[in-house]
Amino acid sequence: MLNVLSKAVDIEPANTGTDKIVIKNINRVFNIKRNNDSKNDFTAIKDVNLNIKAGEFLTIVGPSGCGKSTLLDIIAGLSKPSSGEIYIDNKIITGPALDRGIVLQGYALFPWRTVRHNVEFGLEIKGTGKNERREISTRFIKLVGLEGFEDRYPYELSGGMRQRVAIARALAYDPEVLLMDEPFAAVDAQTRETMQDELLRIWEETKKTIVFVTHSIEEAVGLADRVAIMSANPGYIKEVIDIDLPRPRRIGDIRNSASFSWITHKVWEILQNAQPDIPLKKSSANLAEDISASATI
Amino acid sequence: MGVIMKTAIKKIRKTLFGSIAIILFFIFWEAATVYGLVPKSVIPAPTKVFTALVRSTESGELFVHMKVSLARAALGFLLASAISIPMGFLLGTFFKTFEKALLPFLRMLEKLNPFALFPVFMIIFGIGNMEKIALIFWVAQWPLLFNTIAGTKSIEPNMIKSARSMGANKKVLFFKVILPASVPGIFTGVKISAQISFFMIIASEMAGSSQGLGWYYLSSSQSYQVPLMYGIILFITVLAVIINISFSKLENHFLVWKEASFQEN
Repeated sequence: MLNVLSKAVDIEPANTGTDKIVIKNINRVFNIKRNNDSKNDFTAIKDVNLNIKAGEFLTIVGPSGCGKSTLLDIIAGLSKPSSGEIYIDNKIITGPALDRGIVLQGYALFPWRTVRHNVEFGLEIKGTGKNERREISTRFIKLVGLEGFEDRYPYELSGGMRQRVAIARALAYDPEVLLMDEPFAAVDAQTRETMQDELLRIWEETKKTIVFVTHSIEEAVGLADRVAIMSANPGYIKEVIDIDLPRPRRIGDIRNSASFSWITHKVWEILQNAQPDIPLKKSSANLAEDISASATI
Repeated sequence: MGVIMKTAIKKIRKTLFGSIAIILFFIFWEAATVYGLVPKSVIPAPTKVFTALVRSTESGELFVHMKVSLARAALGFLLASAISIPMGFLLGTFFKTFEKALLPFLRMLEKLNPFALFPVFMIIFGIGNMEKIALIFWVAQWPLLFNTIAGTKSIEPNMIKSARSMGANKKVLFFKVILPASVPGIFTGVKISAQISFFMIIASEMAGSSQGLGWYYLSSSQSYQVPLMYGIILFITVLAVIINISFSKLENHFLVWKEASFQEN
């Protein structure tokens, strides 16, 4: 059965592992002034090379301050690399565009817009007509399971529901790639698991390429086809490992399996080994925090 | 039907409960004058005050002065809104460096005591409508300006980030994100300014004028029409309350998306 499946997949050119996004020798250096006089260069990302395949679910895991959000911002086009190139479909990325959708940790919904109008935001910019907008938003609100909440305002929704709106909003204008920056970090454990299963279902339904940043090893392994493990100071990709857990998955089903524990332990070991590479000095640790705060603006 | 009736009854009850203190105040006032606890020549009975007020409405005098005062206050306030809200936007968004250089100076101007400025405005504009409108403009602009600036700055950076990721250019960002996100801040300014405008117009008409509620009040006290004087005080208070409520209603209408706790003020 599995063989048949993988063969069937082989015929589909989109899923054979054509590279959707190619990241070549990316560096990101921040110039920060400290104590008025001394100028410091802080390397947030160093020599990152990564190919993201069309239709794959790639997670990026690493300690806080390892530059994983910065990397995601660069893929989104919201931030420019100091050196190196990044391509989507062999075209160089110069700025944000509707071929990539982003979901942020803090939801970042527009509080003055109802659920429906939040979901339609990207479509409005795209210039989609009113009737078509309505039809599309209805479909995606249904996809994330928020039927009946179309006319609610964000303040009336729970954290998990807000995140669903954010996902629907990012999907509505039909980007090929979905970039997610720790989207479930702010919701409680139970909601998180539901959301993870929902995301897997949406991914299987929509066949998007997903790049998902998290600091949770379990989340990274549970969701992904491949996990890119990042190390801090400077941020670079230590290793990319394949996750050959069966699909379709449910987090609850695989969580207690031996292979899941084995893989998470392996990732944990790689992360542990990644730490002493560069001794973490106190000053540089603070520096990293400064950076991650400023990088979000 | 039943539900509507119930909510209506609930509303009436709430209003009545909130009015208890006000009703008691007038009862005690009446009683105090009847039983001679206060000299009637200084504080007349509320029934006398109301009679004087009714007589003034019947003669049309009260409303003439009300119209004058409201027109002056509204013109100054609208002028301030038309200038200070856009100004606040520009300073809060595109001209941040300029704002940093200018802010201490603007804060200083704001702190100038407007009562002390009465003679200055009289000298510059001469006593009259022009002077009053300019004065209202002066006092109304500061809350509008500073609250608009604060409103533009209260935007979550993530919101801008997510709008940009959806391909929003500067124009879209301004009209679809920055502008609506600043509305709560602007409304805070509008509410404060409207109240200050009405407050200051009465004061400035008392300082020098030949019409308007402030002048009418002053002239009634100078001609020893004590009941009328108290009547005008009551009338001004009621007007201030109406202005306050109207702007709160307007705010609720525009800010339905805000948490209920924000609307209660």
